[in-house]
Amino acid sequence: MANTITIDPVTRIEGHAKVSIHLDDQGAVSDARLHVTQFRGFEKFCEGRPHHEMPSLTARICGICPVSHLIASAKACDALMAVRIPPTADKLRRLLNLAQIIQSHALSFFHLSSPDLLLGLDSDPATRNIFGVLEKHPQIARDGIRLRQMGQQIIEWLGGKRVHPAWVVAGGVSQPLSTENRDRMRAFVPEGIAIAERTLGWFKKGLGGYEDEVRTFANFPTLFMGLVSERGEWEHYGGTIRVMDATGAIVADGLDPSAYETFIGEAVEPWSYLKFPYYKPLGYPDGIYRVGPLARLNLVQRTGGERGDRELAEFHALQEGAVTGSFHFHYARLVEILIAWEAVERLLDDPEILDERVRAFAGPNALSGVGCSEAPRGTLLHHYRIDANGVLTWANLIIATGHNNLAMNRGLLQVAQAYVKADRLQEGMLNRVEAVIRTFDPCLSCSTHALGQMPLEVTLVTADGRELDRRYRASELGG
Amino acid sequence: MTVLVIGYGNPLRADDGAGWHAAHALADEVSHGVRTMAVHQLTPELAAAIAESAGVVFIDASRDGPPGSLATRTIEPDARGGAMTHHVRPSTLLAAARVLFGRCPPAAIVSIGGERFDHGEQLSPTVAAALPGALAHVRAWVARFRRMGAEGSATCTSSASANP
Repeated sequence: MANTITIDPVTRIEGHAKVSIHLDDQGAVSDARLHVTQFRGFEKFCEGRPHHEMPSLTARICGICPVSHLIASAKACDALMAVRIPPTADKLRRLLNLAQIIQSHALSFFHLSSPDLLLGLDSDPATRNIFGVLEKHPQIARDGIRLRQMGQQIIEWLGGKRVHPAWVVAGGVSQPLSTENRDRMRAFVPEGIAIAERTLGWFKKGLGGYEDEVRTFANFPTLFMGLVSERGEWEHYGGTIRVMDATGAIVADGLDPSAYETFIGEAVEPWSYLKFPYYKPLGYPDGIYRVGPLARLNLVQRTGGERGDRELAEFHALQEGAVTGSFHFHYARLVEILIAWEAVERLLDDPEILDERVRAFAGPNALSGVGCSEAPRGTLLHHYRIDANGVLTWANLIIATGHNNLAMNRGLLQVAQAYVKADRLQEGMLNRVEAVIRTFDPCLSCSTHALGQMPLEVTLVTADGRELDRRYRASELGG
Repeated sequence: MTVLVIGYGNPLRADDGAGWHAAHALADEVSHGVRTMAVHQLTPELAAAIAESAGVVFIDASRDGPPGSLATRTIEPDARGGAMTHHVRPSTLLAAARVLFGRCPPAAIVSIGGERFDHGEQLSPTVAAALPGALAHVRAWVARFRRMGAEGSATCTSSASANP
């Protein structure tokens, strides 16, 4: 008699998800699925809107990553207008995206994942939250808060507000950067770098204590995908797409994001609203790939900064070939915070950042446009089609969490096979099921364009469909 | 030290944005010694600004009371259930301010009973009509916290009264 375990809701993620664990007739785990149970249909209700509204509209997909959507959407609009935006606008958008990466990684690492890391995956769930961290490790909590503050302050200074800034527009940005704000942002850099290095030092020291998690948290060979710069360095805004396999071999390089349909397919499964993108040349589901911090670090050998390069070399030394353990998403986020601060420093030290020509103006000149950038969680693609009047007739968004969907499901299966030992759900197992999902830092609000409460439901189900056990954790995130 | 007013809620969700709208309204008449913030959600980093304030007044929409009803009370720091992600409770933020930054000012909340929480940028007429009354409560708390600040008695244990 086979069984299913369900975990619902998954906590400390952005969005609402349910996990079901299926047992075979011998009581061994045969399958595990992450069900994304909400649907918003953003792509559909954008139809009929003028294309230049899209950056502001799609930014409303999410209160966590509005900046990422703004940037990818504005780039898609640049393509519809067939304009090359002024160099300073390019740099200012980069600055905004880097601030978003810093503040989002800080949220993921310090506020969502550090309770698992600092207090232990078997600790009491009632205290295994950021408040437990705050009481036992106040310096780390203060550092997390400070990083968030600085990232969000930069966003506010650039965009006028922290959430849903309307400063990024089709053709560039709406306002140049003032000298005063440049100087205020520049003053953050040494502190930001110091926090990133301090946290990396602490994290690396404790890494040996997580051998089991490293081994079992979505650690398997997949492809890795993401943007790299023209020089093959770490990239987050421009460049082309590189695909690497688990041995570290480059499978494809220089791929034009606007031709994504030639190399990315999107499969659907009846049990989830989240689509399953895959690398087309390998088919579904063999074309499984990962995006995001882990992928971005795997893909490159240089970051553009000395401190980042040193940390990247150490990161690569974890494993021959690509680093395949998803637990190392956490590590990669910390390295990326450092890389981002160094990139912020370079941009702010460039006198061109203060240039006042920051926007190109044009009407629609192409009927189809793709925008691609690296959101904190991974590659983000916006594709729009418009009519001759510039009105949207079709949209397709491929979100980082979607790219990682196949890997998250396979990761759940791996961790369930390692930790589910009975026909009942135990706390430590539940925690690990949740924690493997959190390594990906999924944003379900974005990926399904989901709406509503953000609570983990796990069910344990037999082969004949009988529910053996069910656990539900009320939302920690509110609605 | 300034008094911090934090209005929070989603202005794209009709009455859920009542606190956000109230903070904006108050910012237009902001006086010396008051800092106003309108935010979608309470976030951990607000703990730093709270620790630096003479007092904090939160303004939020509520599903508890009848539409348009007003409720106000003091808030004490409370770490229980304190998952501090991108959405936290006022009491958790106060506790975070005390633990992390060594200071927790007196705090109060003014809640406005909401009627509609679906999509929309407009407040319902009932809630819009209740906004001036909510602002009067906020001003009274601000005056009290400024007074306490001037007297040097502004700590979180000194706000234990349901009314300003």
